[in-house]
Amino acid sequence: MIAFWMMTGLAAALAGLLVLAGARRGADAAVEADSDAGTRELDELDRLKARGLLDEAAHAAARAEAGRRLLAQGAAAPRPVAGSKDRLWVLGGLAAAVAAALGLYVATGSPGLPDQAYETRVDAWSTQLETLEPAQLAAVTARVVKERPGDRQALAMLGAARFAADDPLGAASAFRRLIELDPKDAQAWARLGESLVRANDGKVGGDAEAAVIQAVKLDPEQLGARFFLGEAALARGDAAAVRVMWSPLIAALEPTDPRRIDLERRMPKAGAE
Amino acid sequence: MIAEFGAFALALALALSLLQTALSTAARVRRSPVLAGAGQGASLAAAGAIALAFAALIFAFVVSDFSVSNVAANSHTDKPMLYKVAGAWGSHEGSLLLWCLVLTVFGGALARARGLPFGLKASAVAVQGALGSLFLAFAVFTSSPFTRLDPAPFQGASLNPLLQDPALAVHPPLLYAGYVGFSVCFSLAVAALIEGRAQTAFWPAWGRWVRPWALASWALLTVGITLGSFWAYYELGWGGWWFWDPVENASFMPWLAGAALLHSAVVTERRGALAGWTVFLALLAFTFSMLGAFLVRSGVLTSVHAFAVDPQRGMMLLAILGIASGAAFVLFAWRAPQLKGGGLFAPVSREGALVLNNLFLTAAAATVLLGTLYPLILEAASGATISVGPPYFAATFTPLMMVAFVILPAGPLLAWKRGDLRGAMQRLAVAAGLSILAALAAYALWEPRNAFAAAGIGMGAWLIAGSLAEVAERARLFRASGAEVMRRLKGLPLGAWGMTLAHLGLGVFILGAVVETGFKVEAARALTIGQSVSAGPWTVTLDEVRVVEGPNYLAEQGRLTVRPSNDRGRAETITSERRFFPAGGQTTTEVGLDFRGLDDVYVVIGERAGSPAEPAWVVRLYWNPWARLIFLGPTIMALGGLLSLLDRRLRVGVGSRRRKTA
Amino acid sequence: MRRLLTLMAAPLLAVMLTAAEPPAALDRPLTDAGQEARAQALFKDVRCVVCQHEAIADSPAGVAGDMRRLIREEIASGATDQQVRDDLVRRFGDYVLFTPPVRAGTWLLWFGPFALVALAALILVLRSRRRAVETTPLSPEEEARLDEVLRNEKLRRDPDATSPHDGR
Repeated sequence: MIAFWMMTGLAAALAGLLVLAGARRGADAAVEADSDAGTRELDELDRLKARGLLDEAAHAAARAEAGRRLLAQGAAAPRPVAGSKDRLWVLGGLAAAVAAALGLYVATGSPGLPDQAYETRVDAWSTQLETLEPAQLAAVTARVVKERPGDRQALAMLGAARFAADDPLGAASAFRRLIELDPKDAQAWARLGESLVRANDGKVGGDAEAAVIQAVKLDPEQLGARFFLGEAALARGDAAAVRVMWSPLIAALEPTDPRRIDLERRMPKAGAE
Repeated sequence: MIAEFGAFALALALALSLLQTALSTAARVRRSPVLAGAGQGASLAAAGAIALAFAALIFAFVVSDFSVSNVAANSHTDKPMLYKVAGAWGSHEGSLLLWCLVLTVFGGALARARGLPFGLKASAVAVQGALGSLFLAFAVFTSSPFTRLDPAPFQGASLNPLLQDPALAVHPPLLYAGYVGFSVCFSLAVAALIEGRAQTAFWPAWGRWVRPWALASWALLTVGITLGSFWAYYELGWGGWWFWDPVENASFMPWLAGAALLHSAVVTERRGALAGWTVFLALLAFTFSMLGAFLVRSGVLTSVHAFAVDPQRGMMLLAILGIASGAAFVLFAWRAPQLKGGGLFAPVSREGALVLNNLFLTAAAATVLLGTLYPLILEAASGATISVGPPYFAATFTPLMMVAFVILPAGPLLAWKRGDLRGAMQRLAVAAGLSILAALAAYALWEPRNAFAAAGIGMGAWLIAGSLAEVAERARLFRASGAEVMRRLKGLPLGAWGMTLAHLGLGVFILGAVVETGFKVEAARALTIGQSVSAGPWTVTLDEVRVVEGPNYLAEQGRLTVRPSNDRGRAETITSERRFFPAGGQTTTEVGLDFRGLDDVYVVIGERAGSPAEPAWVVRLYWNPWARLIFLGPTIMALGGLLSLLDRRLRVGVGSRRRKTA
Repeated sequence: MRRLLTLMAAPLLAVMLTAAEPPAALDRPLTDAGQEARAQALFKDVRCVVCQHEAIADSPAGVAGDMRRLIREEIASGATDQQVRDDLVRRFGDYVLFTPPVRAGTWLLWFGPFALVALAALILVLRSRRRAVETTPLSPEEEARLDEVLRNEKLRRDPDATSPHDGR
């Protein structure tokens, strides 16, 4: 806050300096008006003639015209003179301007609200990991990943955090990088599939299915992956495949778990077809 | 703290602009050099304050301070640094701040200009301060880029990916420098009307003071428009470079008015004639700039430029336009009858040619104005909706400009006051012969036959040959000894070279535009890997498509080989991408451009087609002959403008020169 | 493994890339080259009704693709250019053509520019009739006065300069 007021004070002082310096220059320069315009114009005509750009007659005519203009100009405008109170007016105006600027700022700005540079915020968040929201956690882990691109744990966390923060595309990107580091990570494949499903508005697309198939191939115990494979099979109408995928899932869930009840309800009955 | 300092600096700038207006007005009334100097100082201080505010905004973008709502709405941490910085002027608020920055910096330059008479300068600085106050008040009260958010969001909403492009990062600053540079011409014009000089001696000097500002603004505007056009050419992905889109028209109107102003100011400077008309054009150029800002920002026209459709802000911009231009034109109507230039001239003379130039340029600007506003007015008046597009401008704007181009090369060959038309025509005989020959050759040799294009090629050749003929004439080429020619060439003022370059650049542009429009060939096909598509003399083969992950986008990138269909010539590999930006959910295309001499081979990879087993991609291929000239021409024109600006005769006005050692 | 990843990412990307807007079906050019050329010329004059100031020739939008197909069908079935235009105007209104109609309400639009040039040219011709052009050279008396003015100017500028040409 002190630094802020020092900066505003400095800016106002600099502005004042410029205005006062201008006033001083105005007083010093007295009248250095455009007094040699006539000479300059006639000199220019002579130069043009010397370079061969104007012939004799054209030069004479142009000179006659310019000369008559100069003669017609007659006496110059009255000399500007500094008034005795002008300096006071300048000082008063300056004070009023600075006061107006302050008033305007207080009315339209948010005095005292500190900057919130992204990096500093992430610094702050990384000291209080327990209380973070998913988006904040994603920001913190994203920075860790940037520093240590090979850190699989951080990448997994980044993916999970982004997924929780409703950024499935970002999550998919993190899991894809994780899989590049360790293609045998069944969990990563499963989460990639899940992210892709979320990105695709809940529908199991071909890419998501390929990912979860890979997950189950690597580790048949990937229950999440089995869920999506079952969904995909259900969408295709392949009842047998649904049962193969979901039966172990149902067995693993508590009897009272609403997810289990849902699965049992939706699973096609054996012999129904 | 930096963000809040930016808000304070913005408020300070507004206060200083008001102070500048008040002090300069008082100085003019009381004829006090102290007050005038203080007003000029305030002008410099205002420019400095805005510069600080702008720096604070850029800082907020660089560090991704999402507590600043403008940053939160237009940036994202994944965005590359260049576009974080460019995001500072990628929104309504930021671009308005940029507008104010340019306005006050030009105002500061005006305040430091030397050689202006006391009263004129004080008035001009006061008017410039008033303009600054209007726009700054608009910024502070309705469009502050420093509005804060508390608590700050975790992430920003990112910038429109179409705008994430190097050409577009620098397009707005240049365009604005051009737009707003005309504000100084406006202020000088209003000041001249206030001073109300009837003396003939006043106007040549006034023309000399106005011309450098007009030249600089016009040259910057030329570069800005060209960059924007080039961006549209390679970013929007269908090879067009000018669409007569209302937004383009909005930047084209001040350009046309500025071009007319440049020429008319020459007459005023050299001969003291056309004073009233030059003043009118100076007012018009900045009025068109403000009109453009209103049209683009108000949401009357929706486009990539209309960041936020906000009718209320639009009305305020309209009010600013009405106040500033309205007052100026009322003053003009009142004072114009008293404006007396001197300088009489015969119809056939340099002045006469420049009057014709002005007639056609102004009519062209009026055409663009009509074409842009007519649909809006007609809809408001009668409810009928019409579209005004390229065919309309081809039928109105193009013939007007063609007539102007036919006359153009004769102008510089005519003497001031009374010209020798027959002599000028004799000197242009070679150029005329060459251009007719070029047109005939183009008609006979270029397939498919296209009479319009051939005529256009003849016109381009006429402008180029005509400009060169004028230099040859001045240097007495083929008529004097080599040494004499060199001496004369060296003696030519920079302004003359600038004029030649600008006219030459126009010819180059016309050649490019005509050939590209008349002879471009396009083809589109769904290609599987290894298949080819041909257009004109080029064949493009799709080699590979892969997915790449950019800093803030995912893309399908196609690698393609461009080779001449007859296999005589080297093959080049190019890439074209289709990018998806998750942050905004938008897709953009990255065009693959293969520069072949003056031609472009322009390739766009499109949607996926074909079966999953055998994927295919729609590849569109354009052969754009001589497309390079379309952007080279205006660049040459802008260079011509800058060269003229360096002419010693004009350097009188701007910048501080060495102190007099009296 | 990279290859598998790439393959997997691609369909997702395809979904995302097309999510924003339905893509235009790939154009099927007419087999008759003359008819296709007519169609292409018409495309440049027809506005894509959902886009910002884009002709259907340039627009990637789905609607533009449909309109292109419609026009090609009409041309293939033997409609003249004018019939195609009329049909489009009937369906979508005047708005659909980039060439505004010529009628009482648009006279100003169409003829305004030329009227402006004609009017200005007329004024210029009328004014140029009353013009005397010659400038007589300065008389000796005027020369003397001019000399005086210029000398004063120099004196005012460099009050203590000994030579008028030093340093400039």
